[in-house]
Formats: sequence, C-alpha cells, structure tokens
Amino acid sequence: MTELTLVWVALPFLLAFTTYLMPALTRPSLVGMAALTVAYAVQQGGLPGTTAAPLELQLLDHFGVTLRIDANGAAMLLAHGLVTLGVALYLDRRFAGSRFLAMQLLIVHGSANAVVISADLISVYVSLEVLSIGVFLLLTYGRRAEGQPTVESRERQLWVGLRYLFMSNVAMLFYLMGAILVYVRTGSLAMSSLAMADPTALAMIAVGLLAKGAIFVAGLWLPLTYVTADPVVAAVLSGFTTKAGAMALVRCSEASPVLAQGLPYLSAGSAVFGILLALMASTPQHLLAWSSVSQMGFVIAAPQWAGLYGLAHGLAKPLLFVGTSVTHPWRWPMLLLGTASLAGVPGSLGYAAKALSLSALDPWHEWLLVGVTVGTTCLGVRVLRAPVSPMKGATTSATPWQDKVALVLWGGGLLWGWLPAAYGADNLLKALLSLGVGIPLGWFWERIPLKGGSVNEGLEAVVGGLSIVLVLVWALLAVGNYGTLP
Amino acid sequence: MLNAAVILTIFLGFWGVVVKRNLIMKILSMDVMSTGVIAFFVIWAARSGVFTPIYKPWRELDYADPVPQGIILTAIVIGLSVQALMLVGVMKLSRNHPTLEVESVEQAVASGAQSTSTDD
Repeated sequence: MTELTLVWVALPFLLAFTTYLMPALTRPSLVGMAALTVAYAVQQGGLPGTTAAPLELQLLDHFGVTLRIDANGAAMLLAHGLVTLGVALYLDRRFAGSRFLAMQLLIVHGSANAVVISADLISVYVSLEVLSIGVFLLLTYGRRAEGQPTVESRERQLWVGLRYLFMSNVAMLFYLMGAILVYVRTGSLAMSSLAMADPTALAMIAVGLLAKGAIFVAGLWLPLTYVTADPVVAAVLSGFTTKAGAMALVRCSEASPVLAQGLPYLSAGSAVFGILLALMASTPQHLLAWSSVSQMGFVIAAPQWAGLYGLAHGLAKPLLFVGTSVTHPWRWPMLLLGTASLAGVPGSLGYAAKALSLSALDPWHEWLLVGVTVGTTCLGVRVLRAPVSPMKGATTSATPWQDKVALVLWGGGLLWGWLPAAYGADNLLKALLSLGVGIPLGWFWERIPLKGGSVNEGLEAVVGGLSIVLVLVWALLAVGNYGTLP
Repeated sequence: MLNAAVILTIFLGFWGVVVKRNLIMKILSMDVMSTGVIAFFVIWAARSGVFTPIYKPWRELDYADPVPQGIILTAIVIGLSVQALMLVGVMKLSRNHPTLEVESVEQAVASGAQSTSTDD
C-alpha cells in the first residue's frame, strides 16, 4: 500500500513531464491518471458511506514529513478524479492545441492530490504553490477551439490570472512565516505540532490557507476569476483546486484546538458573506461564483465531514458551470441535479453531506447555516429561471457527447446520497423547511424591489481583504489563548 | 535589532503591495516582502549558531540549523518562478495598457465584463 501511494502521488508529475517529450500520450495519460485516482480514492474509503483504515506514512525522521490518507481526504480525492476525468474529455472540444492544457491539468491534479494527503506544513506549501502556478496557466490559456476570444476577454483572463497568482503568493508568504514560527517553537513541521503553536503562527498559517480556499473576505478574488474563466476551467477551479486550501485548513484544525475553536466563526462568516453577495448578483455565473464563497463556509463547518461536503459541492458546481454555458436541452438535467444537490433536496449527495455536517455543529451555527441554505435554495431557483443566453460562436444545436458523459459522471455521483445516518426526522424537517421557504423566495425574487449592490473586487481590495482577515483571525485566535499555551 | 529590521522589511514590502499603483512596482514590493521572509528564515536558523552546518568531528562549533535553510531554498526557487511568470503576464498586458496602472487595467476589464460576460 505504501508503494502504491507513493507511486500514485508522484505519477501525475512524471506523466506531465514525460508527455512534454511524447505529446501523443497526453490525453490517454490524463484520463488514465484520473481513473487511477478514482480507484485509489474508492479503495481508501472515499465513497460516501464507506470507511477504511487511515494510512499514515512517515517519510523523514523527526522533522515530520508525513502523508496521511483518511476517509475525509479520500472523499475529496474522489472529487479530484471525477472532475479531472470529466474535464479531460472536454479539453479537445474547447481549446485548440489542448495538449498543453492537458499537461497543466495533470500537474494541477497531482498537486491538489498532494495537498489533500500531506500532513506537514512544508509539503502543503510546495503543493499549494505548484497548484497556483498550474491554475494560473489554465486560466490564461487563450486559444479556444470555437470562437476565438476577443482581445478584451483574453486580456481579462490574463488579468484575473495575474490577480490570482499575486494574491496567492502574498498569502503564502504569510503562511511561510507562520510555518517557521511553528518550527522554532516545536522543532517539527508536522501538522501535529500545531497543537503547541502560538496564536500568531496559527493566524499566519490560517490566512494563507483561507486565501487559497477563498473563505470569508479572503475569497474576494474568487467571483471575478470564476466568471471570467472558461466554463471548463471554472469547473476545475470550483471542483477541487479551491477546496484544496480549505482541506489543508481543516487538517490543521484537527491538530490544533485553538484553530478548531476559531473555525466555526470563519465558517459562519464565509457562509453569510458569500450568500449576501450572491443574492445581490445578477447573472447566473456571478450567482454561482459567490455561492461558492458561501459553500466554502459549509465545507469547513464540520471538519469530520469536510471531505464529503467537498465531494458533494465539487461535483455540483462543475455541473452547474458547464450547464449554464450551454443551450441544448441537456442543460436542464445538469442544472436540476446541480441545484438540487446544492440546496439539499433529500436523496442527493448534497443533502446527505449537509445533514451530517449540520448535525455535528453548535445550535447557533447550525441554525445560521440552515438560514443560509434558504438563500442557497433561492439562488438555485434563480439559476434555473435565468434566461438561456445564446453563446457567441456556439451555433450547433446537437448535444456534444462530452456533456452527456459529464452528466453521467458528475450527476451520477450526486445521486449517490443514500446514507442512512443522514435521514433522521429533524434533518428532513430542516431540509424541507429551507426548501419550503427558499423555493418561493427564489421564484418571486425578481419582484422584490432590491437595489443590486456590489463590492470592490479590485486587486487592492483583494490584498486589503487579506490584511483584514489576518488581523481578524489573529484577534480571534489570540483572545484567551495567549496565556494558556503549554 | 536584526530581527526588527527583517520584520520592517516584510511590512514595507506588504505596504508597497497595497499602496503602489503601478503593477511593476507591486511585483517589486512583493519581491521585497519575500526577501524579508527569506531573511526571517535565515535569522531563525542562525539562532543556535552561525557556522555552516557541515559536521566535522574535530570542530567544536555552534552550527546553524540546516532545516529552515533547506526549506527556504525551495521557497526562493518557487518565488523566483512565480515572479518570472507574473512579469511575462505583465509584459503581455503592457501591449494595450502601456502605463500598467492597476486602475486603468481594472477599468478596462470591468467595462468589458458587463458586455461580454458569457463569451469565451
């Protein structure tokens, strides 16, 4: 098992570099790698409702280079595999010269895998940086197969890519400072040593991961990035790359009680902040992008269910981003399945994940998130009712087979929601309550006289948001904790 | 004293990242900040001693801690490649926005976003 894990972690990078020499192998190796990840995740207990013994690999002596694969991470790995598999099939249709993109996707896939299974601070740092470089290249790739982008839209993609890279690099510098402070205090870089870290170090590490995970105000970069990116690239971003930061944060909080205390507030803040701005947004893509910020709050709400929630959200959002970008009749099952899972209709994976996460929370947090779910339902109805916008350059009315495969892969995953533990009476009641309020609200939303507001999403606002979050998180973690550390 | 200078460098870099209007200046400020972080690592590594951590049995010396130095080498390389990539992106942007003022780029991007939010 150890050998298999090590080969599986290293394989995407090896394949990516090999395919630079043998370009003909690019597509098969991407599809094969994604399938291997799915198989590996299933084997490690990634399927909802199954469990497997966690695997821990100590790779170097006491400095703590460690890999840890548990059911939580395995569920997320399943999302990596399924999303990559679906997107791999799209690349040829959407991009000219898609081999370069397929290589980048291999690297992004491999580094996201590495983030989810690393259990030490520096492996997480390196994987996250590789991830952000890969995502930048995916975002800014300009050659489309149909309908070449205008100069403006290409420039816009370049700009959001630069903004993403800039933000993530600054955030990761804070993370590095936090990591060295942990090392100085404890002599180890393993995440388990975070238990003895002081709040300043924890706050710096948290800011880096919050920015990568687009949680709370640190997620200001996300909406414009998702809206501007090609729908297929947005599927990769919303499917797993953004969640990688959140998964690392969850793993840190498992080791550190101080961070675990602060996590509910960050989760609540992100959920409310995202949903308020999503409700004020106007186009379906903006709605979905802001709702991602809100959903990240749900992902980190209950650390033990983070992987399952990440899987549910990571399958629903790609389906929605692709579904809103097409005009043929297959968009309706895509949108219906995606919104049903987001809103938590009983029977879907989203319902199971939400019910299990919410039942593990404090009452104030639980009811706040139920309230946010009402907003999510409202958004889902608005996405379904939004007028179908004809795409420039998309003239054929025939349904491409890739859309059908994506529907089967991602939508089929969303139907895998029968977890008996999630179907208690109170959980069903909460789901029906939020659906009952949210659907009419979404139906009549356009008639509510409400001024559409917006926030400044410029580069300065994004970096400024980072510094605000740094101060807030530091204050949150430092209160009452400074004197009590070992 | 040395510590304070390093922290000051990091803060100055971050201040530049927030305040400077020009994209090149922002990237340079980011470089200043990352230099500060590198120095931060080196200083913490030198806490136990300043000698190169190559063990010789006949030398009774205070060695520096090699782990932070090793880590920061990785971070330097990553920082360098990220900056190179960003500068290439900025070069491409400069073709239509020769001043590289953040505001003008953002205005152009925002005005385009309204009209063509669904094209790709």
